[in-house]
Amino acid sequence: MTLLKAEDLRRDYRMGTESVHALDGISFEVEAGTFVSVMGPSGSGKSTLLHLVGGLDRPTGGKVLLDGRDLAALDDESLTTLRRRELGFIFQFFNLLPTLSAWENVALPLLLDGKKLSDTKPRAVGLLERVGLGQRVDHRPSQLSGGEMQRVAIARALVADPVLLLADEPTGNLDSRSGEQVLELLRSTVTEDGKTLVMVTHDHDAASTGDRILTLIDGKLVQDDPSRAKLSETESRM
Amino acid sequence: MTTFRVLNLRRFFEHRGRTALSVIGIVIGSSLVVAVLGFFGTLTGSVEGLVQDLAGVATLEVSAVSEAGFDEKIFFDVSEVDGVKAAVPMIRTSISVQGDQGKSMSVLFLGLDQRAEALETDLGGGEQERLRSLATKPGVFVGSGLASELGIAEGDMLTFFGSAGQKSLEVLAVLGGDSGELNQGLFAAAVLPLAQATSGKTGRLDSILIVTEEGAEITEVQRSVQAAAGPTVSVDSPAQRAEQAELLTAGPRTGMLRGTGLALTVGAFVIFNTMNMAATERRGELATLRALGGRKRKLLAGFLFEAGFMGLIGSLIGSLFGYGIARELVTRIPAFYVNAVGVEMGFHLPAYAIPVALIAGVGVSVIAALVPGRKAVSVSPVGSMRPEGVLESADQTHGVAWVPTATGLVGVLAGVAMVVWGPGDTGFIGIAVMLAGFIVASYGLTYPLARATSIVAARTGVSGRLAAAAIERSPRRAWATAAAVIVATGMVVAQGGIFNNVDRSLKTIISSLGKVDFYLSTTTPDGFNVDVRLPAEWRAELEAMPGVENVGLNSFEFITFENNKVLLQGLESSVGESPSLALASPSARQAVLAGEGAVVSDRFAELYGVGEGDILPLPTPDGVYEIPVVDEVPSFAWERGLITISHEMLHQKYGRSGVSDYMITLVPEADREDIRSRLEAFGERTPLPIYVTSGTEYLAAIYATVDQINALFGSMTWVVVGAAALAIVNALLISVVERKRELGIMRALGTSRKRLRRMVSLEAAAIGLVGGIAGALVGFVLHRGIMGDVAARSGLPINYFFYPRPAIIAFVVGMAIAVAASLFPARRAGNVNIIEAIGYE
Repeated sequence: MTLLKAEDLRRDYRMGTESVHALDGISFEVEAGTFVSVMGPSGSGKSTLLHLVGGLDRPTGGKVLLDGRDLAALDDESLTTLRRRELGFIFQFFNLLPTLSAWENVALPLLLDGKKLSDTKPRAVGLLERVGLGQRVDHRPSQLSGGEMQRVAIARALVADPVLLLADEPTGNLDSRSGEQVLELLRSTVTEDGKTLVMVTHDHDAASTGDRILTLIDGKLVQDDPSRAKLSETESRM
Repeated sequence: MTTFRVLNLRRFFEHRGRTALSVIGIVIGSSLVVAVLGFFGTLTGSVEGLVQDLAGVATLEVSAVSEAGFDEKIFFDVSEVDGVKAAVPMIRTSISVQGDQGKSMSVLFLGLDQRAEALETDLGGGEQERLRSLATKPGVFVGSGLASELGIAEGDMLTFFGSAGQKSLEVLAVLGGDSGELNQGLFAAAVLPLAQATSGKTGRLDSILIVTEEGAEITEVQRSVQAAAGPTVSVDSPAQRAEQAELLTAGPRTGMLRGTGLALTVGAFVIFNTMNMAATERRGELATLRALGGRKRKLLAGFLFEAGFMGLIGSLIGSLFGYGIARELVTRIPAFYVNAVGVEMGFHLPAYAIPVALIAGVGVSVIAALVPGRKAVSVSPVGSMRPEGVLESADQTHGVAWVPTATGLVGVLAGVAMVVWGPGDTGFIGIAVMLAGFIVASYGLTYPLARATSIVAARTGVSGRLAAAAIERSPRRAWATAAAVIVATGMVVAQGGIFNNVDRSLKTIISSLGKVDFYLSTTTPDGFNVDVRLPAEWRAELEAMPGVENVGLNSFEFITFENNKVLLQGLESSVGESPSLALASPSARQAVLAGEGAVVSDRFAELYGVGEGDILPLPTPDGVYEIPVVDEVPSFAWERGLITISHEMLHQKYGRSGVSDYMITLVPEADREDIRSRLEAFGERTPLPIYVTSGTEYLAAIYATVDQINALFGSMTWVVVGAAALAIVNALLISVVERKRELGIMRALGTSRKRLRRMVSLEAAAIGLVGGIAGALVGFVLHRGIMGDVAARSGLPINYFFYPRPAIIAFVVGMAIAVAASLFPARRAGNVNIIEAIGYE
């Protein structure tokens, strides 16, 4: 089943007097329950793609369809609700609130949805246990390592049980060991929880964790291949 | 509420210092609201309380036009008027008393008889029978307050000093309960004839309280009573005394409300500044919340809640301070005011005072946070994907923002219009609107202000050029710092100018008081004592004293003129003079001393429309006496107006003997110390306090009172300056925190710590310079506006003079504050860790 569909997606920016085509007519589909990596050099448009798919920005042309709904047709309020309830974001710089403990950071999307803090604790703590941070639920971000912070961010992305997870360079700020742990965790959200994940990355190895790799250059989709992992999985099945 | 508690409230406790700094302005403003309302509530509440306690069910009161009272025969005419159910004659005056232990004080003295029962008051407190039987003996009843002040008990003797001389009476009973608390318990009461004789008012009354028939038309009865009583008395509601008391305080109330308005405006600015900085500082966090699905409305509500909560904390703390200040101010109410209203002051905080302060504190905080709040939540959620620092250039504007500039300028003009043409107490709102207008206009001029600042900074070398780049890149931050300097400088310049003008005008007007060598008075130089007079026969003895060239006479009386308490001064003088005659023309002075004319204060002429060349209908106990007004003079003496006539006329028309002040001028070769000790010996003849003061001391005492008031307002200004300095520290600190990455890169590229520190300090100095110049201009306009308002409404003859010195002081202070405030942020900038700073998190 197609969960996400991009149709001739365009995004232009003005840089002084010039117009820059950050995305230049991209089309692709993402099946539910798959892990898609988006790769490309700096300035290729992969972050812009993530912004559009996540409803953070609006396209200059084309469409993003999530579960058949055109995001461009939604008003700001509806997009906000969609982000809160149906999308989970994982940022390169974690974006945890320094004044909140780990479990409160995880509970944040539920809090923004009007839930009581005390009601959200069991789920938040449960997710932290799931990501291996059961002993650090009351720690503040400043007391956690980079890898731990990113795991808290993943728990936060999962807390509202979203249909689509969007990760922007989730290992870009981590050492290789922490990066591997985070990737394993992301992979498990797809394989065990059946989530759909779109991950932007520079890292070939990280991208290979996914089922499929979309490669962008200068705002165009130049390659759409199954990843090595997928290939070897398919080969082993055969 | 949960989101507010978790996202906003917790931040308060995480940043306790910053929260404290933000609420200072609101603490100041709301403490003033409570202090002003408590102080003036006490002034009028005490009078209202006494009116209620004494008047009971009475709906009308016949009262005297002066302290001399009126003929008691009027009582019979009044009591027979249709619609009058009962008429209650009364002596109600202030009198000096002395107890057995030698201590003396001025108290309320009442004369009543059994007719007072018609008032249905608590007087007697259920002991009427016992008191009635006691009242057959010559003696007085005293309140519990007086008994404890003088250390007297039932059976002790009490000496009264009335205008007819002194009289000793036995204390028949010390009244307890509610009736003993009348006028804070500071009263003595006797049966009517004894009270009349003791106060020197035999055959006279101070008041007749009237209980009207049920269903009678009060205004009709009032007219009939006035017609029956004649023109020597006024007939009005008993509550009129409270209204008179309120009018007496109109001038100072206007002044203090003006200060309150300014303080609240500055408080709003400090909150605005804090929230504006918070909006900048939290841009990344808010972008994340938006990306995670936080609704704009909810985030804005949290932001406003945060400001409202700061306002609530500030106004709660301010209310506590204000309560304390009001209580302290009440103990310092000048004796002349207590004399004028004849009521002892008991603290009365109006029930609405604290709610008003809380609403004002929370209201201005929420309003101040609205613009930064909207700006904060309008951040794009895309910002959450960017590293810290990348958003810095997001709010750059290039040029004048016309909407806030025009709105601010309209505010300034509206403020000026309110000051110049607005009715009543709107002057203080006008001043606040003017200040707010300046702040809003400066917000609209953010970019030109930042540009001017960066040009200044760029002229100071390499560090200056780096500072200039930082300023131009973050004009909002530059504005926040500059606006704090503008507010602080503006306040110092305005206040300095006002003090200078008050001082200069006062010194010009009262300088003649210093020409007298010695004053022998019943009160200190800053008061009037209308109750106690020095014996008239002392004059001959004083004149006969070797070395004395001349003895002038000065006495005061309060009269009721057009329902206002007007001060009447009687003068006889040949060398030393009171300002009212010293400032009059020679011919007017001559006419007054000859008993052929009156000089009135400018304020009197303004309030009642009776000035030079007019005939003044002077109310006297024997009817209206018409006297020509021969001159108008500026006067600080009494806000409701001053009339000066000859001392002889005061004596003749108002029937009170004695003198308030003897003004003694010596021959040049006189031994001043010898004469002083001989004058002090006069004081030993009477148990009442007598003051011997030289002309220089007399002036110094008045100046000291003015300096005290100035110091009170001055301390408020310096607290505002302190709050502004903290706001500057706040803005610069946030600037350093935000630019940590950039500072790290500069360090990595080889910039020395010293240069980074100098860069932050130069940024502050440049902002201090530009803000100081703009602040001085704002201060001059505020000074001009406030002086216009003071002159127009307070009744004080203060003239506007341009006074540049505070601008120079404020300019230097503003620069110094800005540079001093930059030291800590500069140190942090210099100590930035390169590795930490250039890493993203």
